[in-house]
Amino acid sequence: MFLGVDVGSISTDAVLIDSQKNILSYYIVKSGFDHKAAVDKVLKGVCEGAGIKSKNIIKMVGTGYGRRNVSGIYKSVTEISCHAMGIHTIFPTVRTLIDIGGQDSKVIRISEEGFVETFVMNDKCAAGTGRFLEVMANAMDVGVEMLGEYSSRATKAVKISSTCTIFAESEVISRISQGDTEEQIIAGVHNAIADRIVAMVNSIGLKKDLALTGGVAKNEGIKAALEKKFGKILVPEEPQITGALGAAIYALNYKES
Amino acid sequence: MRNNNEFKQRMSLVKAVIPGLQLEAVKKLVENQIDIFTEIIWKNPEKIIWTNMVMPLEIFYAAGLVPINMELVAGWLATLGLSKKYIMLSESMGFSPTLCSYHKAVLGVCENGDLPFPRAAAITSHLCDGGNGVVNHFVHRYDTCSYTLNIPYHNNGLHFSYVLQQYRELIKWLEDYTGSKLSNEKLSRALELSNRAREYWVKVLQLRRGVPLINGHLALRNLFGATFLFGTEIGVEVAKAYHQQLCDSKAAESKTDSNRSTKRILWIHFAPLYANQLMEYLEEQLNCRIVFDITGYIYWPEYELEKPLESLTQRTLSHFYMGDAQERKNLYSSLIKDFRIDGVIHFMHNGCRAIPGWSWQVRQVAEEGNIPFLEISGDCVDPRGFSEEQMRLRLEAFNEALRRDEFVFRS
Repeated sequence: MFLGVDVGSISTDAVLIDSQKNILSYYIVKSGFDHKAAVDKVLKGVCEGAGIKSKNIIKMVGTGYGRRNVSGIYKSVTEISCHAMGIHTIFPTVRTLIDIGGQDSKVIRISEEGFVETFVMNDKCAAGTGRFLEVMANAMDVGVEMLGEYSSRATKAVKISSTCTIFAESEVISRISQGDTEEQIIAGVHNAIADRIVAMVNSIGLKKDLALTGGVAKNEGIKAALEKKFGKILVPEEPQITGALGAAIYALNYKES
Repeated sequence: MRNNNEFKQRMSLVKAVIPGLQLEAVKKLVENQIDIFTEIIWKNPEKIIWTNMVMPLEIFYAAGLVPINMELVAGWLATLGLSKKYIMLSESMGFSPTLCSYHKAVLGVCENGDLPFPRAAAITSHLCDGGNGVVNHFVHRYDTCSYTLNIPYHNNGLHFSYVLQQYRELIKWLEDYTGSKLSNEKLSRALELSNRAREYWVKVLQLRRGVPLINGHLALRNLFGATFLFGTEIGVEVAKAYHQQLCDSKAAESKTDSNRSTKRILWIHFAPLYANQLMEYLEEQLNCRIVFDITGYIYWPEYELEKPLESLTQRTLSHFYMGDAQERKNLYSSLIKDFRIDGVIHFMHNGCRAIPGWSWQVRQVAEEGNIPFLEISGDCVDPRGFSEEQMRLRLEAFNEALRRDEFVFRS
């Protein structure tokens, strides 16, 4: 059995696969401040889920920005490569991936074998990331998991700046005071993120099929805003574990060094 | 001069690190730069002429002046850990945060009195739009004498005549400034010295097509200024030392890096010049060696000594960032082929309008050649927004894309 562990800014995810690339179990916890504790938790959870002991894991690959904090790993591989390989395993026809995580967003062009051809990432700014959504949800006192439902009820979207999270938060607050509805504002927030992502996709050129992953992919409003721009977008059943799945595939496929 | 001139103090301290520098050419170059910035510029500020990155300098050497390149000054300020201070000073004067940090650093160091104010400046208008603004500021702030060569975008007969006429005017302007006639013999001598340095440089580039003989970032970061010495004896010495060291390394090739896992990188534009380990990480840890950087490309033909101004005009108009886009793509393609490039990295310097604007062409060429391409956004001179971890992540992912062959598939 082969394990991939993705230590992200918000969540730590683990995926366990067999030698046929079948997912045996997966587990997600909050990363918190203690990455080692988070990794221990997902390791325990994923082993319990598959009914195995950790000693049965043949090889483990770590990914995510905390990938170097995973002890006992065979290799660490960047989340960029792992997301590409992960989505390729789920949807082999995908050539462009949008991954929107807690602290970054990236667009990756993927080869027919699941390797990275090229990529772009947001540049040291939270606009266009999961954190952007969290800040906006807090400003409106709406649960982040409810954002998609709110925007689906919007009859129109207000214009929100996509330049800066702090400025956008100010805009949201002023929109509230101007009497715009939560639904309209949230739809505007989703459009602001979509505008950012569209620019990134265009910079490397869209090749279909197109997929969306990361925690933000669970937000139907973001998916809908992006589909308005790009047409159909594939989203895995559990979009949050794509990176960890890719890491597990790397654990399976890495040549012995 | 101010007593607490940090630039001069730190520049003096650089002497202590010269023996530890890896490239002999860099040692000679740095000695020359220390001499200029700690002695010559203070003793004879009227002999200094400020200029910018793609201006041919032979004409100034022939006029008995010492050209100071504003981008090179900014590079030193970053290397010495002073750029942030001077950039913040220029921003406090009202210069926008989005302006090029090279220029803001220069504006700040002059404003602070850590370099003598510019008495004369002569620049070209091509590639860099900020240089003109800097010189305009000099004129208004310090009453600097200035001349700008206005360079058209395309190289054709009409534009050739237009630029040639400006070179004639530049000579008159220089003669007015120096108070003496520019000697044809001295101009011819400067061009001859430049040709000799150029010849060594071309041979260096030929050697770099083979097994990597040096860490390319050493040339990228430290030898940018060497071509500004073309036209002088020291310029020939620097180029000769560079060539000799590579010849010596090649002779000992069996001891150098012939590792098949080495990836060969084409680097476009400059790199962060303030203290960081990014380039060492790329070349030494990831084993991605910069075998060619575009800043060291000799794009101009050998000067014809009997036609000095025509030769300078030809060089000015032949820069590869000017003119037809397809020619630029052809250049990238040939570099990729000649240097057996595995991947291309384009550093997107903040505030630069010209070079990042062409990155789409590099991306297209890389795609056509089926090789990985990476754009890294950042600043070469301003350290305030630098995130080494973020940049390392991008380099690591790029390295993984280069090393697809290290995987096996069981499916």
